[in-house]
Amino acid sequence: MPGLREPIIKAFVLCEDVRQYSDKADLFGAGVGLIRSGSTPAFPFKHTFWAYLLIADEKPEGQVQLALMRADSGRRYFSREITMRHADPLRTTQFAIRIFNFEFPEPGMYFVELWYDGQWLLDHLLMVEG
Amino acid sequence: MAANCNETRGIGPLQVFDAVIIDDPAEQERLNRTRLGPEVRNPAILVRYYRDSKRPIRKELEWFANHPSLESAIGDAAMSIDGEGKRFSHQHRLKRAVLESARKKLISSAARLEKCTTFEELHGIVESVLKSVEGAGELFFYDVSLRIGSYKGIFPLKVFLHAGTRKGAKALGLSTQLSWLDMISLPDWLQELQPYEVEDFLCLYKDRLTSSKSASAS
Repeated sequence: MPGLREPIIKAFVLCEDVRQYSDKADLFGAGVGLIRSGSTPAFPFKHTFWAYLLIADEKPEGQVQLALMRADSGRRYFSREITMRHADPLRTTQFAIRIFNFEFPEPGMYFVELWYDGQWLLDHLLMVEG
Repeated sequence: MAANCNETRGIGPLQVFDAVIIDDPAEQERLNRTRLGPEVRNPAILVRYYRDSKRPIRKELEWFANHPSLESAIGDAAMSIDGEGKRFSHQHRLKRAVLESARKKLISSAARLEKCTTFEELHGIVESVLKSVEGAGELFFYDVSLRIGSYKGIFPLKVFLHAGTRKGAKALGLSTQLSWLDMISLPDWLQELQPYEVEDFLCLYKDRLTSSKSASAS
């Protein structure tokens, strides 16, 4: 659609949990950058965490996709695309995505990447230790 | 991204979803090939990842640098045994008899290896000693040389190529006609690394570099 501005990312926050209320949301453990395996053996282990997004977009909808990228190989693990609906172009859309039981194969450095409409936008570093 | 966000007013209701990781390997492969990450525009980002990640090679070289004697370093290098007594992944598929044969041949050449003052000299001796060992190839020659070199404190001055590193080098448009690359022939951002790190980098990121190249071309 001509004349529309590009989307604006206002927030991309990793956290341990999100609680939703009628008028707000609470982010617990916001800014998490290190995950320690609590399982035996330490790897592979599954872990659940959240990504909180604020995106303003004049289009009625956009496709959000998260990817976990292993820094040691550049290999990405993509999630399915999620349709983000922007009901009002003048309001920012709030989105909480649970990355459920992601299996970390090895310790090391990972990046949680935000892809929007097939484009890489941002990433967050996530260290994973045994 | 547009910078001006003053015109948006208020925040809509929270939408909650689960991100389901795609479990179809073919689809993951396709996405890895076609999605253009920041490293496509700037492959130097991969060097940042490499520098910051826990590189197994660092641990491997430290392990050999701390061996008590040249003979023990040669023995573990040939048998491809790490600090926990496990076999290094590069040599997983080699039969034990191949490793044993290599160990015996190298131990009998310990005096020649002792006298080496450059990695290239060391690599030449290892290659000539082991080329008669059936099942041993260029990656094994290089890995063993690097391990023994680490004990002696001598490292390559150029980047040695084998199957994995060749693939990575080709993806960067580098000539792979010779069995090695001069550091000067590499892009500036890759020259930040030591030659043995470049070898490791090209091997580790070969798939990423290859898919980035094909995605850029299409």
